[in-house]
This record gives sequence, structure tokens and C-alpha cells, in this order.
Amino acid sequence: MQVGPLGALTAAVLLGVVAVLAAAFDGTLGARLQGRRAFSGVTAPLWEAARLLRQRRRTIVAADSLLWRIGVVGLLVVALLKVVVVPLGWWTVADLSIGMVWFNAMDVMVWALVWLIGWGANSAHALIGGYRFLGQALSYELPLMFALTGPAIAAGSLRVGDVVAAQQDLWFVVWMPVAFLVFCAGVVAFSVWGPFGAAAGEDIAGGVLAELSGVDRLLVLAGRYALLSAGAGFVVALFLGGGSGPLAPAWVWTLVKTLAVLAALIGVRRLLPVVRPDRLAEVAWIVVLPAVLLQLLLVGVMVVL
Amino acid sequence: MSAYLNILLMLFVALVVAGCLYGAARLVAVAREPLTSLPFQSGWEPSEHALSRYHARYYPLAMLFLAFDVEMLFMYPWAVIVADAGIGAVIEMFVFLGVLMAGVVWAWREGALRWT
Amino acid sequence: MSAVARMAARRPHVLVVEVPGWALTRISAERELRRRGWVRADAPADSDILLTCGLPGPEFGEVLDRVWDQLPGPRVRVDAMDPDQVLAVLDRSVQALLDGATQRDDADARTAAAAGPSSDHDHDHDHGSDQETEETEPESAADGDGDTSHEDGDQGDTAHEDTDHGGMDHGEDDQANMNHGGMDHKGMSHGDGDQADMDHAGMDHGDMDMPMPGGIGLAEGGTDRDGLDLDVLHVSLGPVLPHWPAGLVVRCSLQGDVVTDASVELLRAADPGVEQLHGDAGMMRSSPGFTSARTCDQAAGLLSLLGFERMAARAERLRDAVLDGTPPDQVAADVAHLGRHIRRSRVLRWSLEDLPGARERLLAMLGAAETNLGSAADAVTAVRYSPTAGTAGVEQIPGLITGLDVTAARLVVASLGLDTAPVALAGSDRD
Repeated sequence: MQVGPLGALTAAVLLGVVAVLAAAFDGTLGARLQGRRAFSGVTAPLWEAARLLRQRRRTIVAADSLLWRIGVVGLLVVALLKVVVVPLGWWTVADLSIGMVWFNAMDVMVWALVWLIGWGANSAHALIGGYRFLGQALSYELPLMFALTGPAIAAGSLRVGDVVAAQQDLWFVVWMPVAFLVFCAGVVAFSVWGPFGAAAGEDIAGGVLAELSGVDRLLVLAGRYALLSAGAGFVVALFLGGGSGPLAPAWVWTLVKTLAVLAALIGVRRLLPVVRPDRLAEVAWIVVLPAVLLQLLLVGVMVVL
Repeated sequence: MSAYLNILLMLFVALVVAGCLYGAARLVAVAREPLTSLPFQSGWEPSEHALSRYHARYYPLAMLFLAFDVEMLFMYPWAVIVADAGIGAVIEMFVFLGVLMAGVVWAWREGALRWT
Repeated sequence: MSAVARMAARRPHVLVVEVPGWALTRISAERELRRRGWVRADAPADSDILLTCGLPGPEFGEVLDRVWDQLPGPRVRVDAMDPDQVLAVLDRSVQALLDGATQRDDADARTAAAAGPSSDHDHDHDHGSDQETEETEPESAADGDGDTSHEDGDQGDTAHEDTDHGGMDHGEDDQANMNHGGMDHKGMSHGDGDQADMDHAGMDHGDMDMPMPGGIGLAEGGTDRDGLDLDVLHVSLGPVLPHWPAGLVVRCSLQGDVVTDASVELLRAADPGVEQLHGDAGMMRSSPGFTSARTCDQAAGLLSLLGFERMAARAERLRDAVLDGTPPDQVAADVAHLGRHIRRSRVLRWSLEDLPGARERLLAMLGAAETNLGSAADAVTAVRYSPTAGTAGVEQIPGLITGLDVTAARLVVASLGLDTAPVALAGSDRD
């Protein structure tokens, strides 16, 4: 159900809250891993935000400032534009008939934005990071797109609300587990996160982040968490029945499920090593892509029978 | 149409949020103007600008990707009508995907998926 | 403002630089950062504090000055000469970060210094930088110890002179080659456009219509391994780079991210540093505890570069446990446990598959640490960990990494488990 203009503001605030929770959870995991009290990490995003607001911005000699700025601001903007099609319970900010395509279009924007962050700085490490992301994107994007199509086929619609409604009886995750996992991996990948964070790797001094300081860095880091959060919300709508659940109202269920998925995505960061894009390509194209296509075939056959 | 108005509104909200952050930083940061710095190169001066013709070694893969990406254009409308069109549509689509996949396997054997 | 500053100072990011010979100090600093929940920075842009562990030689000092120039601010520069100083140094750094007035003055001085040279390239610059070094030092506020603030003044100047003349001349040289390709022009015009943009943002940078933006040349083409004519970037890896052997510099020619050519050199500690060394790590160098802590540290570095955070953190905690005086046999059991985990990890095997020997060397590191700790408990002379490639020395690095991409090169270098201290101190020959 389409909501009025205030919906956009509410959605933005909600995404912000969820993203901050994600950052706090990441801080907690980090603190525990380092042998400190887990709770001491909860405030990490707050301290970090204050630190970056106080820190001076940087520009590099002969940097491509305009493009750099577009990339820096863009991640957060794209994340917000993604949530317009993610239903909260039965409400959607923009109930587009092609909501799935909209989400897909926005996530392809991330290609350009991450690359721009790397390119704009006029710095070798950042440049390597930017191109590395493109190399990674060539591997994750197709499986992601096909995984997205599965629920659309099953629902016979590209409207996200219809996809949620089509899961009244059975959540899609039950008979599309491959698409579900691949889509989750795709969310991690377009958020430059954890195992798919090679573009911001330590080996290239932070890669696309290498030259960012101050509020610019804050925007990029916040944008990453926002992308993860928006992606988690979309996973819930596509595969986990959206707001369906007993007792509590639908919007509560959407939030609860989103936070659960998000926690898993945050947690995966420390469990797995970073996948080098050149190692990823073969696996993505020769193993994952056919697996997703088989999943689609299964879905297609189930739908017509 | 109000859906697209809401999207525009969201774009506006997003830009306002970013603007507010920049504004807050101007108030709080130790200096308003950005610091002009040399790029970080482990402590050495760069001997040339990094912006250059970069060797993106995955260009064969990019070609392959384009072929599949165009395919996605067919995939979306197909997803909407496949339930009505029946098994024929499924067969047609997956024969097409199979042909593409054969191309991928061929490219793989040619080494297009390896670039190190 | 001050509330924000206090919040900001709760979790500062520290760029820790190790001078060859001061591994123990650096490890102690990292342990303290971990304990406090501070963050180890990857690059100057992300740093509030530049912590130098040890006494760098003149060339290393210049490198550090340039890195210091890249910290955005608020910023503090401090040194630690031995592990016992670390705590006090970090405490003082926070105080200096909180000093809003000094930090703002520092920022203003740098803005003024930057505005100077761009209006008059050659002559004003030195003046500008003098002013900067004089007023900049938030570290003077932080430096209680007289002995740590030694060389800052004059070295700062040397560095700035370098920046100016070296960089500028290079630019003029390359101007002849400017018309190499369409890209080059694009690069130039971006530079201009961005200048306009910055003026809007209230920046007053004066002119930038010198032929090369920033006095830096444009990349030139070169034939790559596939026979394509592509630009070559000359990028030095080290000495300031996360998880990188102290003082090591690998000068690489890069096409894309492929190392097409490499040469290696070492930056040394200052001469008096030798004595310092014997006061610091020198005494512990032969002790099995230090050796095994260092080996754990190298394993942790390699695991960090792999992005395997959980394993890296475990290795780091074991390293710190050794130094904390946890009973060696207890740590040895944990090291063995970690080793088994890593040996079993399929995903790690897969990610190092294309780098022959890297995984084995990682396991050998942990094995050696375990043996050392075990023998320490038995009071038997410790086995010094000597990886095969490590004994062949840093000179082998170019041969090993040429043709690899940057990540693979970093992983290979980290897997060698190099200890640069003996090399950097003894001259050209190590061991």
C-alpha cells in the first residue's frame, strides 16, 4: 500500500536507526573478538561519528573533486532510494509496479559510486580499490539479478508488494534456498562488506577509503551500513514473507526479520576471509550462476505446472 | 504517479541528510576548508598522477557480462508472464540461457575467467 | 564542540609505525590499543595519532614527515622508544587531541602554509612550511619526554624542500610527454574543474595554472605482459603500510594492479638507535617469549591481510598473551588449537591456493611459535623460526612478486615472516 509524503521521511529515519543498530552490533562483535567486554563496543558508532565530524576533510592534489563527492554522497542516497520499494508491513513509500527492477537499478548504481570514490581521489591505492570493486561486481551482479528474478516469477509480478502477498502460504526461502543465499551474498557484495570488502582491503591501505577523512568518510561508512540495511529489508520482502507473522503487527515483523538478517550479514564479516575478486570470478560464473539458473528453472516449472 | 513523487521526495530527503552532515561538520570540524594533501603512498611522493589508463585485466569478463546483462532485459517481462504463457515459455527461456551458459563455459575454457 | 571532542577522543585511530628493531614496542602499542578499544589505522587519512615506535634514520624520518603532513587533523605525533613508554604516550596523545585551541591553530597554520606556496611556487614555500612546523606541533603539547621530540624541526624542513623542488622539476620534465593520450587531457581538465569547485566551497587556493596539477607528472605508457600499451604507475610499498615488515620499501612499477617490476630497499634506524635497540628489543630478542610473540604477530599480519578477522584476532591475542606473561605451555596449547583451525579451514586453503607455499609458511609460523613456547616451558634453548624464503633475504622479494597483483604480492611478502631488524642494523648482510 502506497503511503503519503510523510512516509519517505519515516522510511529514511527508520533506515538510519537500523543502520546505526547495525554499526553498534558490529562494534559489539569487534569488541568481543578483541577480548573486551562486548558492551563496550556498542557506542563505537557514536564515537566514530563524533570523531569524523570533528576531523578535517581532505582533498588530494589534482583530485577529481566533483566525481569524488558524487561517489561519497551517493552510497547513502542510493541506499535511501532502495528502501522506497521495501515494504514495511503493508506500507511502501513508492509502490512501483516495477519495484524489483528499481531495486536492481539502484544496486547497479553502486558500481559507479564505489568506482568514483576510488577514481576521484587521484591516489594509487584508492584507484586499485575502485577497479577491484568493478572486478568483483562482474562476478556478483548476475547471480544477484537472477536470484531477484526467482520471487518475481513465483509471484508473477515485479511489484514487491505482490511478491510479499504471494508468500502468504509458504515463504519463498523454503523452495528457493539457493536464490536466498545468493541474494544475501549479493547484498554483502554491493555493500563492500566483509568477505566482499576487497575494494576497501587492508592490503591497499583501505583502498577506496584510503584518502577519505572527516565527514566524507562518515558518509561512505554510513552508506555502507545503510546499503546493508536496505538489502536486508529487501531480503525479508523477497524471501522471508515480509511482514507475515503471528501476534505482532506486520511492521514489527518486518523490522524483526530485517534486524535478524542484518545481524547475520554483519556477523559474516569476521567469519570468512576476504575473497579476492580474481579468485571469485571462476566460482561465481561456473558454480554459482548455473546453480541460480537451475533454481530459476525449478521455480519456472513449479509455476507453470 | 504519487509513487514517483515519493521517490523524488526521498531523493530530496537524502540530499538534505547529506547536506546536514556537511553542515554539522563545518560547525564542528577543526577546520572548515579541506586539507590539500598528497596521496598516501606509504610516505613517498607520487611520481605521477594516479588517474591513468588503468589495466582492468578483467575486460574479457566484462564482455561476457554485457551479453548476460542484456539478457536480463528479457528476463523481467518474461518473469511476469511465464505463469500464463506456460511450459513453452520456460523451455524457450532456458534454451536461450543454456546457449549463453555454453558461451560462458567456452570462455572459461579459454581462460577469460582468470586474470592473475 | 568540546562535547564532540570528548566523544571523538573516546576511540582515536592510531597509525603505528615501526622502525626496524622496535618490534616489541610496536607490539606493545598494538596490545594497548586493543585493550583500550582504540583503532589501528590503515592510512594517514584515517589517523588521529601518528605513533612512531623507535628512532628512525634521516630518510625514514623524512618519510614520516610526509605521512604526518597527510593526517587531516586533529592530529598528534608521538614517539615511543620502549614498551614502557607506550601507556604514557597514548595518554598524552588523547590530551593533545582534546586541546581544541591548539588543534584549530594547527589547522589554520596548515591552511596558511598551503595558500602560501601556490601563489609563489618556489620561494614562499619554505617560509610557509617553517611557519607550519613551528606552530603545528600539537605534539609539543603532548611531549612530556624531552627525549622524544628530537629531530622534528629540521627534518620537517628537509621534507618540504623535497616536496617542492623534486616534485616540481619532475612535473616540468614530464610536460613534454603530456600529449600521450586522450586520458591525459581529461586528467588535466578535471584538475581545473575541481579547482573551481573548491573555490565555491570557500577554499582560497590561489592559482593552479601551472602546467601539471600539483607539480606531479602524468603516467606514461609502457607495454604490459599482454602487449598492450598501458600506463605505468610507480608506487612504493612501505615503509608505512599496515602489516608490512618494518622499514622495508618495495618500489613497484604497476600496470593496473599488477607488479611489473620491483626493487627493494631498507630504511634504517638512526645510528644511536643501535644502542636503543639493545635497551629495548635487543635484550628480549633472543628470549623464546619474544621470538614466539613475534612469530604470532607475523601470522596475525598475514591473516589480517587475508581479511580473516576472527583468526587474525585470535593470533593477536595469543601474541599478547605471551607478552602478558601467561604460562607458555598454556599459550602453546592455544597456538596449537589455532593452527589446527587454520589447517582445517577450507576457505583459507582455497584463498591461498594460487600462492604456492604461502599457506604452508603460515602454518610453519604457528608451528614454530608453538615449539618455542613449549621449549620455553622446558627451559630448553628456543628454536629460532627461519622460513626458507626469509633466509634468502629481502633481496628475493622482487623475484617473488613480479607478475603478481598487489594483494598477492602483499600476501607473499607477509608469508615470508621477515625480520628486518638484523638487516637494517647490520648493514647489507643479514644473519
